[in-house]
Amino acid sequence: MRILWSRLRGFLFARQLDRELDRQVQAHVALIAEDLERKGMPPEEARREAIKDFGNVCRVQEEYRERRGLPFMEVLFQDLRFAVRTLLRKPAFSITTLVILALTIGLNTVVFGVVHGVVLRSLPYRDQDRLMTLWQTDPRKGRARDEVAVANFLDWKERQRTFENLAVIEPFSHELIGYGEPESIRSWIVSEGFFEIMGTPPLLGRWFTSEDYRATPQEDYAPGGASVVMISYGLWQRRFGGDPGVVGKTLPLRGRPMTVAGVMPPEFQYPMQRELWSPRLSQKQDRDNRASSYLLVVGRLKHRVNVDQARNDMRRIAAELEREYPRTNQGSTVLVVPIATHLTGEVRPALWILFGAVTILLLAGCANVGGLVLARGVERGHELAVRSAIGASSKRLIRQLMTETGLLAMCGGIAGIVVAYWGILLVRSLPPSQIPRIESVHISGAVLIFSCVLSAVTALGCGLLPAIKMVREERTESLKSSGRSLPASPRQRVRRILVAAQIAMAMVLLTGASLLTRSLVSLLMVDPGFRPDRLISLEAHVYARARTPQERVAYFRQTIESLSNTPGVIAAAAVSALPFHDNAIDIETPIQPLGEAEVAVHERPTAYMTTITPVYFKLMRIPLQQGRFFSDADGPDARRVAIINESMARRFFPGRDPIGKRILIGRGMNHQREIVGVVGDTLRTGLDDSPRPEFFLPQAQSGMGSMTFIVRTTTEPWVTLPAIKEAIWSVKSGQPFAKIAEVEELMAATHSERRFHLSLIGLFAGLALLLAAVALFGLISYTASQRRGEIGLRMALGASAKDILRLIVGEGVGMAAWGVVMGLAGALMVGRVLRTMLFGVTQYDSFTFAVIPLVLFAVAVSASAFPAWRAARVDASRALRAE
Amino acid sequence: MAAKSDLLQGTLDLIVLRVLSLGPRHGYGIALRIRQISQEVLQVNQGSLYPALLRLDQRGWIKSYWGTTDTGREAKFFELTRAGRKQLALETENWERVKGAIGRLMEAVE
Repeated sequence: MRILWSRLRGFLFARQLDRELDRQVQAHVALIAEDLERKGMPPEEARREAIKDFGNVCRVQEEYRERRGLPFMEVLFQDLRFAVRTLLRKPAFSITTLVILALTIGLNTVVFGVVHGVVLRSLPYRDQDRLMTLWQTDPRKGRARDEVAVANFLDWKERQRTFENLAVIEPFSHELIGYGEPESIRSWIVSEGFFEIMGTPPLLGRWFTSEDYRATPQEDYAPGGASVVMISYGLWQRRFGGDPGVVGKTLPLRGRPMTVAGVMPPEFQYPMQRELWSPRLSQKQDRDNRASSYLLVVGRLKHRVNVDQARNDMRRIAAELEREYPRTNQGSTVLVVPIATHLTGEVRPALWILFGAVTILLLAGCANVGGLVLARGVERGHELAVRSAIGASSKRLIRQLMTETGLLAMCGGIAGIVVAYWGILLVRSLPPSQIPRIESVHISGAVLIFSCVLSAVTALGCGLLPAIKMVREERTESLKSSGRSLPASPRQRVRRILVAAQIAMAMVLLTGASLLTRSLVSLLMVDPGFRPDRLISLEAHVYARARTPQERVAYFRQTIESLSNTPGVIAAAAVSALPFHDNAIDIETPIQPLGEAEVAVHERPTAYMTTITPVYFKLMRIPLQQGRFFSDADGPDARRVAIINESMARRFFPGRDPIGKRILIGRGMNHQREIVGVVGDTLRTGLDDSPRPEFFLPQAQSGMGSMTFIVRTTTEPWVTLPAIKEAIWSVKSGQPFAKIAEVEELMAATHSERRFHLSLIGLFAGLALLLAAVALFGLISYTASQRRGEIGLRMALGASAKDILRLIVGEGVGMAAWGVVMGLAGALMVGRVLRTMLFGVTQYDSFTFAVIPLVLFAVAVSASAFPAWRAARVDASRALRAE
Repeated sequence: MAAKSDLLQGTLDLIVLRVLSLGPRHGYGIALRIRQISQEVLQVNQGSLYPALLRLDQRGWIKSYWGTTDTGREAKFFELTRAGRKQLALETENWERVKGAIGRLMEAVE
């Protein structure tokens, strides 16, 4: 220990200690000289004699230093300095290796991050194994995991014997009006015991108490009539700047003051991210509501009760309910699913497969970097020979080579973490429905440790074997200077197969990437039927502020007028279901044209019903094909009219003029409308959608109150947004907007998943191509150097440099051909796997299947060009002499 | 922590410890004393003396300080620590045993 400390000190303060040793030696010499002088020697001579007497100062210093410092560390630094110099001298090699390592390590880190965040990390709930989600299931309706009707929940809660408690969760919305900007907050209302069941303590404040559930509901119609709320971490930060004083504060929610009971931590987000919780007060009609199932149920198992017991218990209750309420509950049972299984069960296998895929990629990356190091070793043979000749042991040489790959792996690891950072941002941009808990995935400590270990293993994996092989080969090479090396040993054959396999893999992935790219390109060229540029949408629900249809008609007339007069606004309208809007309320209703053979209501063909204000079509640039648009004259007291789209005209009036025809709408027979116009089709949910029969009603004749304002602006919509909001509030203040978005944004969101798949497969394909190129380069360089003798012989016999080039490049192209043939089967398969994601291209897209092999051959030629060029430069006489 | 050292080195360590047991001395003083006591038989190479001193210092058997000689020169002095004294006793005993053994061996061979 003491020695180690002293050595460490020696290592750290080497210069100072050197000076002290110097001083000591000086003193010693001076003392000898003094002695000699005393014996009568002249001072000069005495000094010279003393130095001679002392002997070799250098050796003393050397020996002293070796004993004093940490030779291990000193050698390491020396190696590191040397490694940096060598790597900088070969930028192509270093950069290729770095890119491979950074991408493979980065990709592994991303996938591990997702696996860790989604699967491995425990949920933020107490005793999550006892936490269950409960579902209704009705195999006849094909619904495996359905939400629950409230009356069923109440019966479950009363009759069950295996749960500590059950709670119900209902999606809701709380309008915050009169506190800063009006806003409609998406919320959950939860029955008593919900927080106790979940077991996540609040960050601030308290859970709801039974006191909160006894509050008398006021005239407010909804079950969300309690007077306390719990807010989410996000809302707390967003609206209250993280002020801890928010607990106990009252907020004007749902038109009356509600007290904030507490703040929940950010990770608490079952069933999904929403920003507010409030008690769900029970209502009289709950008992009778067995048909509309839209509630989520959670329960906590009693101690020493397992899932199977709970399942039996619930099955018993379901059977009872089936007997008691056959009309609604026939065939319906209960599903009990542990919360972890519910949240991550479906993606778990997919994630592990992905993890396997990137691990294979990492192994391939390691092998290829190893191959590259080996190929470079051929160039460095001379350097190694010299080093070993002047006395470097093979251990020392291996150590030095390892320092080089270690340094590369370390830099690669750091770059990989940067790559992972971006990768995780990309993954998190996925819509949350794709992977649960994805928003909580981040580069945590565990993920960092993982990538560090990965880098270290990579360094060992791609450095140690080649280093040993290089040093050993160098040794034997010098011994068997006349030994003839064979062109292809069995080991080489294995390497060839591996390289061909990598080319095949690149072929498969590139084919997939190409098919998806071409799909996206043709998708983006699809005409949605309207012009989406500079359009902004504001979703608004006005029922709470305009209770009668007359009020709503007046409201929309006034707001549209106010909006149209706002500077920067070209035109404004409102629509009940805006194309590409995910909250669009689609109403599908049966249609019966009057004067034609009558069809029974439940067998009638349907069409979608949309309410609009008159300017809508002009604003959207949807073309009129027949008849007329709506006008202000189509008021509440005027003749009831409708406009239909092309698809509906084709569907209901094939070959006939629909103008002037009347249709019956809905299940009742009393709702009649006259068709006054036909407009062009628009796509509704996505560019890959096909148009569907749709008809439009003027808002003045429907009194619809859930509308989306839509405004076309002269410049960037966001610039005009504040003025737009003001114009709407000038008619009635305090109108919240459920969602504000540009229409182009909404459209982009509908193909974000496609883009994600494309970037994922594109990334894999690019990496696979790079790996294949590097693998080929490594192999060709190595074999070319092994064939030096043969090449020398050929040249001596009259082969030109061009012939040699052709020979070596031909080998690379041959490998590529094998790879392409091997990959073809997979490439044809990939088209089938991706079939549902293709758009505008077939799975046997001729462009793709012509171009991808060409790309691979081009890469093969360039990867073998350099080794070929080097081989062609071989001096025939020298190469032969080496034999 | 008893590092194995070859005979020569071990012997030099023992000799240095023995010399220092008579009192603090500087490097040259140690070399001089060894030469005197052994009646010029043992010549200490300075090249081994200083590494030996460092080794003994690292093991905590001696400690060093800068001081002045009788003639007023600056020099680094070395002196035994308590651990050094213990080590000297141990090594002396060890040496006696080895000496006796070698002596008997030599006689027996004759």
